[in-house]
Amino acid sequence: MIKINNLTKKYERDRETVTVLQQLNLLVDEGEIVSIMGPSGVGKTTLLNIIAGLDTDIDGDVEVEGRHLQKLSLSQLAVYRNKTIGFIFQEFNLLPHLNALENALVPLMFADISHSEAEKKALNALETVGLKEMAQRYPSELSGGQKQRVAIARALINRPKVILADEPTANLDADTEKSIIKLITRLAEEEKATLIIATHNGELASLAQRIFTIEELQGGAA
Amino acid sequence: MRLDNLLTSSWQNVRRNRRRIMLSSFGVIFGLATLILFFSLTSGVRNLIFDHLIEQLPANQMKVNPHYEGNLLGFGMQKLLGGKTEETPLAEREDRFNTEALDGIKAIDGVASVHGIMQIEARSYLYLFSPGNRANSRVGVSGVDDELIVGELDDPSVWHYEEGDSRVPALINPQLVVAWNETFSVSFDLPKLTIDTIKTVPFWLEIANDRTYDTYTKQIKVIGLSNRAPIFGPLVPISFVKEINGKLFEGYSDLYSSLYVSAKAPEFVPGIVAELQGMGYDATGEQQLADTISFGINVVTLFLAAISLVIVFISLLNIVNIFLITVMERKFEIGVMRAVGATRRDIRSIILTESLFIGLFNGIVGSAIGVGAVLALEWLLNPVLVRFVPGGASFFDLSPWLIAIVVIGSPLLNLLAVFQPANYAARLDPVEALKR
Repeated sequence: MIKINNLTKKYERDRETVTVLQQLNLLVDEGEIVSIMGPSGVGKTTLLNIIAGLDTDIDGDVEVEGRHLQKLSLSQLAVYRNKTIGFIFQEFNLLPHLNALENALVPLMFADISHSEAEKKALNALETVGLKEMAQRYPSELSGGQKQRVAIARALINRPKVILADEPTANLDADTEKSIIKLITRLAEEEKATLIIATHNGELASLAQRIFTIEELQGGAA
Repeated sequence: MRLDNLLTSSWQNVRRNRRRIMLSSFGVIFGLATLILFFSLTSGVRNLIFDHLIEQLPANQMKVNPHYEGNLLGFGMQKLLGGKTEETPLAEREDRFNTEALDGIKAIDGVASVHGIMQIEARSYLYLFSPGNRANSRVGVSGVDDELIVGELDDPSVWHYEEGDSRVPALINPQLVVAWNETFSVSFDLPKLTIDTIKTVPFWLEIANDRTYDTYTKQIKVIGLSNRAPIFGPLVPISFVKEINGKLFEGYSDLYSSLYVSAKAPEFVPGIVAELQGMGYDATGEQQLADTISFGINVVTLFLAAISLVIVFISLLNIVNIFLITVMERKFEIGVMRAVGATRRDIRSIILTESLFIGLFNGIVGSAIGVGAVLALEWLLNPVLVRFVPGGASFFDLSPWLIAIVVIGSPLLNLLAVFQPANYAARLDPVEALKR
């Protein structure tokens, strides 16, 4: 479960304080699929970064799976990101010097698991996203859709309770977009994970059980 | 982060950046190699001096020479300066101790005994097999008090001479044997000698007084080796030298070229040395000589080590710079790792482990090059050295400890140098780092 109360996020830019999120409230049940819509720059990515524990310089309360993120130390936040969160980025964010298998197992490098065991798990994860045969290929040798599949395998390798997808299909063609959407939602359902998708794509958003805009979330409890 | 994952991740990064790392490591490798070379050289030279080139004295003994400028300048220069030389009347000779001087030294507090070294004060030639043949060499003959030498002989009874004896026992310097075997023997295709073969060879000593044209001939029987013997000439009982000097030059039988002064105990040595120096003599105790030489070698060692360390230090700054640039370039990668669960400590550990790998590589390669240089120079120089000092001597002393220190110290130095870039990487804000 994700419970956000009165979240405000501000930052300094050119000696001016910019408010990105103001008094935002959100409640997402366990296993629920939620879309957050809005144009670029409205604060969708900022909200996901906050839920992921990457951005902790906030006002308000963010509770994920029973943890109040503001109360966690930096080390606890790292463990939280590793075990609880699976983050799928718009730009895939694969490491170019690692092959698909090595990219998929990056989160396991920081978990208490041996390297050989991590490789087995990563291979299984790649099989789940249909890329087992391409395990040794480097990102430069993969198409956009294949890169995003590797990124999905990486996000799900630790079987997280919460999956955060930030514009996961923004850089993909229409056909690939559909297959990626299906893959993410299917895997989230299989894992009974909570899925929050930030997107400006109406078709993608419509797959969610609930759809919100940032403005709606800032207007009252959701 | 588990150790196997840490090592795997760091090793992947080192391999990825290997070309850049190799270039930046070149200076460190060179510096470490020179460090091994310089330390081995100074340590080897120290051993060479202490083991082979300086006379080993007991801790309570010191050698005393007259403070005579001719000792330093040479007779040619002394003549030019108008000093008192061999041609000066005996009573005025400044380069010899007389009995009065000996008595003065004996009276110093803490002195147990004083033994004189007396030289034959005439041109002396050593002939092989028989007097007058062509196999001869001009030598310096020194006589030493029986009391000083008999304790150092396996069979003291052979060290005995009385006026009229047909043969004179003699000791020769071991370096003379080495010089013969490695130089004369090789150059003139003559057989190599051991002390046992030398003992069987008859030598003849011919002493000539240039002023009176008197000569004196005596057979010499070599009975052993001694570091107290002059490099080019035999050490004989002082009674023989007194006899010759007395016969050839009136009044020369009580003049000594140098003295061995023994203290009652080693702790008296510094006081006696100071007293002797106050009396105008050159006095050198074993410890003082060792200290003086050690100081000189230490200064040279420190100077050379400083050169090596400056090279290493400058190269380490280069490595720090390379790591800082690498961290900046890897910002995104660090952001991804932080986003998927890496702690600050994980990031710091990855970069520090990379620096350990590089430091270990530098240490091993630097040591290998240093050892290779030492072995190559030994191979080149030792055949020359062996002509002058007994076998087994080397200009280099390659210590396994030195190699161990370099191999272990190099990663530790790298670790210290890279700590700041690693800390910077660990403190990167993941959100900022993920921005392309």
